[in-house]
Amino acid sequence: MTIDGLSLLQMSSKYIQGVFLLCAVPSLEAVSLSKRYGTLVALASLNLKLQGSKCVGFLGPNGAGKTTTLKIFSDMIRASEGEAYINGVEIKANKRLALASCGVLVETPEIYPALTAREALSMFAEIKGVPKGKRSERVNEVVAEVRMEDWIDGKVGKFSKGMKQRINIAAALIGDPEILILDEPTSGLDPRGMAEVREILKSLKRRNKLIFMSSHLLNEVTDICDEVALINKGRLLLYDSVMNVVTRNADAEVEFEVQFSRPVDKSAISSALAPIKSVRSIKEIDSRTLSISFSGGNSAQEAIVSELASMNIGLLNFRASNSTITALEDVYLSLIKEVT
Amino acid sequence: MTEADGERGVGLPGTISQMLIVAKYELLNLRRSRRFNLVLAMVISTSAVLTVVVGYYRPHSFLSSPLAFYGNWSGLSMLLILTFVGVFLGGDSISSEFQSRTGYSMIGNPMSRAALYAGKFLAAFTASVLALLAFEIIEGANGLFYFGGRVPIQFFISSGLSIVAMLSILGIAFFLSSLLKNGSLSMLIETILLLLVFNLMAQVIEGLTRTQPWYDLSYALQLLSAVLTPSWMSLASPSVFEGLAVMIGYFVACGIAGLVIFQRSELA
Repeated sequence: MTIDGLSLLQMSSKYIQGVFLLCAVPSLEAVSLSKRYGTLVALASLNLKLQGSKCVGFLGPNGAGKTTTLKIFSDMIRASEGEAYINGVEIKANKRLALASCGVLVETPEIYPALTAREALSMFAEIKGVPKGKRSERVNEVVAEVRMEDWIDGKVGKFSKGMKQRINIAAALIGDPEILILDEPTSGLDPRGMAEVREILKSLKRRNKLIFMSSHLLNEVTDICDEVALINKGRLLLYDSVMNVVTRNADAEVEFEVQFSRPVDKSAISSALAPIKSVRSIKEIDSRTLSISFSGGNSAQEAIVSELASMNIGLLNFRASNSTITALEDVYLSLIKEVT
Repeated sequence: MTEADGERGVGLPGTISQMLIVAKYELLNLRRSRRFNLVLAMVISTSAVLTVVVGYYRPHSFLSSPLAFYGNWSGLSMLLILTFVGVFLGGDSISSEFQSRTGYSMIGNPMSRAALYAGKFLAAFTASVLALLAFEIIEGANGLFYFGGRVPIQFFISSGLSIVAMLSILGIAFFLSSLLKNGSLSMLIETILLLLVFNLMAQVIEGLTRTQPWYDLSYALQLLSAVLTPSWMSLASPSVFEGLAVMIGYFVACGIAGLVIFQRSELA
């Protein structure tokens, strides 16, 4: 029996392939990964498994081993010991397959300077196997994403550092990768550029991608990342959700800024949130903005957001205030200090 | 590895296709570079000087026969042209990937390092052949002016051999470029090696052992001018076979050694 020219067997095979693709979540895994330069240990038996669509921030002081790890994952350096897997494929064993669904931006790369941005991105698109018919469209899409449309036919060698970094980000995105490995992606950008790149990363997160990015900027990590891995002296100190990290002490308090589309009654909100024990204080910043301090991590945050949403009072935004960044900074500094 | 992992690699061009993609864009980059224009200007000005000198002084050594003309023209400048073209267009091909940080944008792609190395080699070779072609075209045009269509077969053999010689010179260039990670240094060492060390080595070995150093590249490169002499078929050495074998040997050995080094190199 055939349907649309396909036999039952062919249809079953296609169905199974589809199920496999749906089940295949992007993953990065370091297994006992070590890197030594003579007597210097850059990475000491790192074990880390990232799986699923999320953004993981890779934090650590200078020389902690962040870039070394990302370079091993992108075949720029070889591990002294251990394995690095991308989607279950060991990078040394099959680099082409391992990096097939990966976009990489490590340090601040240069692109062949006499090529235009369009040509350079076309080159990366061809290397990554973007079909010929879609290549031009894809180049235009990623150029628009990094807001470089006006310079698409300019030579890369003439670009400023920030413009080059945007093209590098576009190059990492050109193959529509499932996984992005980014080493300080906002490095070299002005404040506006940094904000734009962060928006790009947030939008990528919504498109079911696994983003593994190193950063020195704690505010960047709290703003973009769902999880954080903290490394120092080549050793992993912590890997957890940002919320769990900042509330890892039972009494740790975080502060969120809540915005509404219309003026709200603070006392009504205080009454509604009163049953949630972990809410410590509610302050009015202006008629449409409140500051809510609470402890209890993700579960408390979930309960507060859920309650505010059910009140139907025009909840617009619920974001960590500077105190959350400070909380992460405290954890960061205390862990680094413990190791030192 | 699951079937889905296999699916992830679907659509990725093969290694040969990726090598050709790299070669295409590298050549485009090279063609637009100041360096290529400089090499072309150098080749054209060398040819222009020869054109003016031969046209003005009408030297008997040049104009006695078509073979003498082509032999003197190529004999005077071919080795220098080959060396400078090879050094300028290939001397820092691999080291620039580290020094100019272009490797950071190329190596993280789903592509073997061999494809990148070979693609860059192909681009440097194509650009070098284009520069050589400019030299040969001007030489041929002068030959046509003085002797009409009487072009000796040796001219074409020498031209073919110069392309093989270019392969060997680029092989050495890529080897040094992989080894040194410093563009200027690798270019300098290659120039010294090709113009000085190989020649000196050949003379010293010949003087000490009274044997011809068939394994020396400069000895093999003598073939380029030797074939443009009337008695080239009866010349004791180097024979065409010897010269070709040595040049190809250098290309293969240095090319492979350079690739092995590049594959082990780290962007640290």
